[in-house]
Amino acid sequence: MTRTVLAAAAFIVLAAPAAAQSIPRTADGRPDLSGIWQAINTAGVNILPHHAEPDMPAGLGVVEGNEIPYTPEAAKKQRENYANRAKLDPVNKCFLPGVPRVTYMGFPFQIVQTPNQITMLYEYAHTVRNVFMNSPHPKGPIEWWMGDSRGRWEGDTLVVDVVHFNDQTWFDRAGNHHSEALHVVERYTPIDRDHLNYEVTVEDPKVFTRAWKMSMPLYRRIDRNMQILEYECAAFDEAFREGPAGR
Amino acid sequence: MRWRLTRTALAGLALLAWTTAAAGQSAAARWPGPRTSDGQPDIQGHWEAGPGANNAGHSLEEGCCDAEHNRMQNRAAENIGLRRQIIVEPKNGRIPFQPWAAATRREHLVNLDAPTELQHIEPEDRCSLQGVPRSNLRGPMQILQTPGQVVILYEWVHAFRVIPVDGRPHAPKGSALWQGDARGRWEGNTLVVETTNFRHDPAGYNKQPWIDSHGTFYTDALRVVERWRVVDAGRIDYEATIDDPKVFTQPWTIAYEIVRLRQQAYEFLEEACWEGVSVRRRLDAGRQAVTAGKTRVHSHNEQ
Repeated sequence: MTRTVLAAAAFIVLAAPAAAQSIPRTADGRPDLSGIWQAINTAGVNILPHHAEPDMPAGLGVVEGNEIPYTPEAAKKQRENYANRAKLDPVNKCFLPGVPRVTYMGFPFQIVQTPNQITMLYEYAHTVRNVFMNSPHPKGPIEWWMGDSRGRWEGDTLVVDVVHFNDQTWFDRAGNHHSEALHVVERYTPIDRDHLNYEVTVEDPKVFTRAWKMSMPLYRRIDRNMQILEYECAAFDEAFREGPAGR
Repeated sequence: MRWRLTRTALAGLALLAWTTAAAGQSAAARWPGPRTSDGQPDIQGHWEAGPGANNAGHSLEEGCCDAEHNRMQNRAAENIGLRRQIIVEPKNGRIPFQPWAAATRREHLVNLDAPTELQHIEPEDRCSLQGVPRSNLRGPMQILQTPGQVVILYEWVHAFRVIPVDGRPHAPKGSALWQGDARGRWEGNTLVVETTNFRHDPAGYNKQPWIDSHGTFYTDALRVVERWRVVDAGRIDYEATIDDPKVFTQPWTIAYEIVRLRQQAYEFLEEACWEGVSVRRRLDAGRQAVTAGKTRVHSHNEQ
């Protein structure tokens, strides 16, 4: 027991400075998050623990405590969403996926980092988020699919505060949902050169009884000549046809 | 206030000095303005097609629009037609279609106002990516530069292009893209971008952009070479040569000015276009028009 604690302590002492030194930095000393990243998990299917279904792998979930603190009415709505997810999931209509869902849908995204604006380019439906640094949110009410993102640095962590959402997006394919009062705080913390820790705090007093968190690593796509391609979802025939996605 | 005035005056002087230094030098001259950390001429900020070109995305030959269309879109009364010829090669300002392609294009112009099938709806009306060079004609764009790349963000349908300028090879054929696969290089003050590997949909469903709303289409043989010649802090002389030997009789070139957006501290708003579109309603309306015998070749000449 003691030996384990000591070993852990030694690891922290040794590992922390090593990680801090090994991450790329910009001219002004901030972590340089530039590059192409991707989540490798099944949170896009369900952010909670789940068994497999056809074309959908099982997963351990990414939510702290494995529970989303829905109000009773909101829990009922999630069950209805789940039962009708093929028809109701906004992503099945190729709509913008919201935050944080866009991060872990299974597509890569590229961070373009400048001192005052950090832009995230997503392969899914050419979604873009502009994170403006050290500036206030515009006055609401505004209802945007991807919300309004404002960033700041806390040590080596990029903290992104996101508000001004609509109530149309989901957290995953399982119908986990929110209202337009959603407030998301994302924390991107470099672990080493090729890994970020991605932690998300979710608040929505209309839907949840308390704030809750999810977290996951993000992996750098180190593939030779990696580049963001396109998933022009709205151009697929399925997006126009009869049935759940028909328009 | 005094500080702000002084700062503005200083910035104005610096700009004047820079502009004066830039004038009279060849495109290959040494860049007099600021540079990025990796040595690129720094052209970051918000830009848009200049007043002579900002309605040319509808038709590179005729601009936009008829008076009725203009009224519907709340455009300024003078924003009709082209105030300047955009196609500079060939000299007649017309797109050099091969005969078969001219016939296909004419079909597009008949179907444009009365679509009965999905492929009749012009890609912009489906909120699709606009491709190259059309993206550069559709509203504000923001240029970001980080080491080894130029990134162009477009407010229209939150489109973007990532243009590596670090000499890496093109993506392999087969990974075709609506925006094409762009590779750039700086030649003095000019950003030269070659874009290939465009998405082409030979089945006729037009799962690909058009070069303008007037049905100017292309195949997988398309190659576009853009030259962004930076004239001064507020102006880029833009030129794009469009080559597709399967569709056109010769390469053709458009040229116009791109100017810095006048509004300071501009931030893009969310352009969630697709989320509000109903293709089905367009088709229903088109089919009703066809049933009623109300079809025509889309034109700006009849009122």
